Amino acid sequence: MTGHPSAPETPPKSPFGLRTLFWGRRPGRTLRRALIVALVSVLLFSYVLQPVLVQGDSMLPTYRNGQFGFANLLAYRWADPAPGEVVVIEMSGRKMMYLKRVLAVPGDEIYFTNGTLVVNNRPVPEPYVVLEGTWNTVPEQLGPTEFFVAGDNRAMPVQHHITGATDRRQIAGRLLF
Amino acid sequence: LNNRLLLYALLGAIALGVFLYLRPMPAARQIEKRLDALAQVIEKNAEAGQLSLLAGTQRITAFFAENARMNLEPLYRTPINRRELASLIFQAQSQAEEINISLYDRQVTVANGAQTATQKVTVSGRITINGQTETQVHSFLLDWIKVDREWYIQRVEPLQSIRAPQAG
Repeated sequence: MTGHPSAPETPPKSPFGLRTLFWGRRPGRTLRRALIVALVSVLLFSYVLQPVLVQGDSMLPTYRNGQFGFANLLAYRWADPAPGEVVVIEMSGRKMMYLKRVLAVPGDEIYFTNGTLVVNNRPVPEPYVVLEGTWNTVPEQLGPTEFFVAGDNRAMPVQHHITGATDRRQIAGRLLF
Repeated sequence: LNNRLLLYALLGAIALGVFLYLRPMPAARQIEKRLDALAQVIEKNAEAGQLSLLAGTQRITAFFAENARMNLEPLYRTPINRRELASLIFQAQSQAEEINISLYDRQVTVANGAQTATQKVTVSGRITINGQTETQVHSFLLDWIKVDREWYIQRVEPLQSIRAPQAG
């Protein structure tokens, strides 16, 4: 009589267990990939694409309170901001920044008369302004590094709205969407 | 195996470098904690009583040097001293149901053998009065001075990155 000693029965190992699902078949490679993804994400979202959460109503109706977007921090590394672009402006750093639209560039003369934007003695149409106001300001000549910025919501009095000239160095990037 | 070790050593060195770079100096850390404590005194929650508010606002003067001058434009037009500031904060706390303060982008520069320091900070204040909530965000430059091992605010100036036009 021949026979094999009976082996204790063990359930077959699934090739796709939880551990495999989490760590992959080669945990070392998974760890390396995770570290690389983390490093690239930190670099990307710190120096290139800054996540932006809009707070306040000064950019209504273009951007609403609570809206989320990204700012391209490299947009003005080799180019200057242009009129009409929406930019982020540093305060004491980059965690909290102003979100404004560029209305005039260095050397321009700018003012508002009864809500109409006038740049270099020409009225400028502003299709993005839906909430109109009656702003009146004194004509101002911008310096060689100054850009004039304002929010799209002109329904609030100019005294309650953070608007005016900002230095080129304060402009951190352009809002992508 | 060697490649793996090299990678781990490289990542470890980067992490150590980041840690050492970000590690605040002791004086800077003291100033950070001091500003956090001041923000806490200014805050108000719905349960706070008048007596505790009064005691809190009296503590506010202890964060400022005796001759401290605060220019809080555009919140307040003329420079004020520490007692006037405490009084303003008490008024605001008395009217408000809730005040929340958040501090962002704090940058401390320590000088004179850690006896003085300047700090840039962005303050976001959310105040609720009669159910209406308003948020104000402003940046300030603070001058700190160390007296008897404690840091005091000596001067506050607005840090305006946008210069307002003159109204016509």
